Order: sequence, then structure tokens, then C-alpha cells
Amino acid sequence: MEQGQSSSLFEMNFSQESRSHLAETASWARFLAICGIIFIGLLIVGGILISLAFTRTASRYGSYNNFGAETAGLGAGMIVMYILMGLLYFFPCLFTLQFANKMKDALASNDSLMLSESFRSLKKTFRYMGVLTIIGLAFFVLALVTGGLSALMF
Amino acid sequence: MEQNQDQSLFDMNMDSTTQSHLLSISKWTKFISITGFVVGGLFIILLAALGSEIISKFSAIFSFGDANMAGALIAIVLVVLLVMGCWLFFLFRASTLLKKGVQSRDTAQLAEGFKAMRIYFIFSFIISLLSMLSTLQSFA
Repeated sequence: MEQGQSSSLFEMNFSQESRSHLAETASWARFLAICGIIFIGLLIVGGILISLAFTRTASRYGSYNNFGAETAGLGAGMIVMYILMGLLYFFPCLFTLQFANKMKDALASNDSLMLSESFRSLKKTFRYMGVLTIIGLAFFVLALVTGGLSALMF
Repeated sequence: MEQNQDQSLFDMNMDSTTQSHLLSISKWTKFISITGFVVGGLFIILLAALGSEIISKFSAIFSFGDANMAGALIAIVLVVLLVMGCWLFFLFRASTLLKKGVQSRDTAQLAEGFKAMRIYFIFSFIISLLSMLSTLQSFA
């Protein structure tokens, strides 16, 4: 730990005020991450229950009409969609939890290396959200272009 | 600026790696917040331009019946926009102050940046709790 705290010209000091703000930030970040992980669990369980209800409906009415297989397919598709949504939301929660835990450890032990690791986790959280924003924007532009082209064609 | 950089027993050092992480956090948070402001602005323009048409369509679909319900819908949208605006503002403020703090080595600005980040996380917690409740309600 000692070598991590060696001073250099490029180092900055970290005031008591910053420490107290970061301690509170870590607490809220931890709440946020834990709530997010619980929500992912509920989302996946809820998704599975809904898709099971669809599959049950499909098996009940499958012999009467042709919708049975389609409804079962829809149920399976919903499970996959909910799991993908959960997976997409899991990583920022994980990085936020890592940030909070490492920050608490860093502040408790005055460990500059742990502090750096904590900010690295926070950077990963925002980078992940930034990349998701870029992907969302790309889809938005694609939808605009597709909509505009189809409006021109028809 | 010098008086802000006073050292105490409780002070910790931030090496160049930590500072580069903070600059990177500032870059991404600025991108996210500006994108959010632009999307929110577009949404408001769209709402102002097509608001009455959207409300009449919604009234027809959900059979609101009276104008009070449409007014309530507008109020809810405005409250959501206000909360999202505050949320993004604190993210933007954190981004700006962290960058300035690291570049000018000003611990007071850095502390203000961390304060804005703290408020951003409080807003995030409240928003995610509300969205979780609304999602669970839709399951029920």
C-alpha cells in the first residue's frame, strides 16, 4: 500500500470535503447497484412467469386453432428478451457496486491504489452507459432515415 | 488556489492514473448529459408542435372523457422532464467541475464536482426506484 502513496509532481491532494462527498456517493451508489440487481432478478423471474403463462395458454388452445405454436414461440422469445434486458442492465450495476465497495475500502484504509481502482470502476460504468447511448442514437438515426425513406417511397 | 491544497493527516494523494480516470469520467459524463439535453430538447419541441394532436389521440385511445385527464398527463410529462433535467444537470456539473478541478489542481472545485456526483447518484436512486415500481406495477 505504501508504494501506492508515494508522492510525485503529478499527484494531487484529496481534501476532507472530497472524502465526505465520496463516502456518501459510495453509499448511494451501493443502494443503486443493489436495487438494480434485485430489479434484474425480478425482471427475469417476471419474464419467465409471463412466458410460462403464454406457453400454458398455447398448450391449452393449441389443439383448437393454429395459434398454439406461435404463442409458445412468443413465450420463448419473451424469456430471451427479458434475459437480454437483464444482462444489459447487469454490467452497469456490477461496475457501480465495484466502485462503491472499492471507494469504501479506499477511504477506510487511505489506500490510493484502491482509490484509483474505484475510479476505474466508475469510468467503466460511464463508458458502458456512453456506448449504450451511442448505440441508442444510432438506432434513432436509423429509424429516422428508414421512416423518411419509406415516407418518400409511399 | 493554494489555500485549497492544504494537506492534513486525512488527505489522500491522487496519482496521475487516478487523474486520468477522472478526466475520462468527465468526458463520458459530458457526452451522456449533452446527449440527454439534446434528446430532451427535441422531445419538448415535438411535444410543443404536436402536443394537441397527441393528446386528442391519447384521449381517443384511453377514452379520458374530459380535459382534466389530458391536463394531468401533461403535468406528469412535465414533472418527468423536470426531474430528468435536474438529473442530467448534476451529471453535467460534475463533469465540468471534475475536469476543471483536475486540470487546475484545485481541490475545492474537485470537491464541488464530487458533491454534484453525489446528488446525481441520489437522483439516480430515486428515478430507478420509481421506474422499478412502475415496472412491477405493470407486471401485476
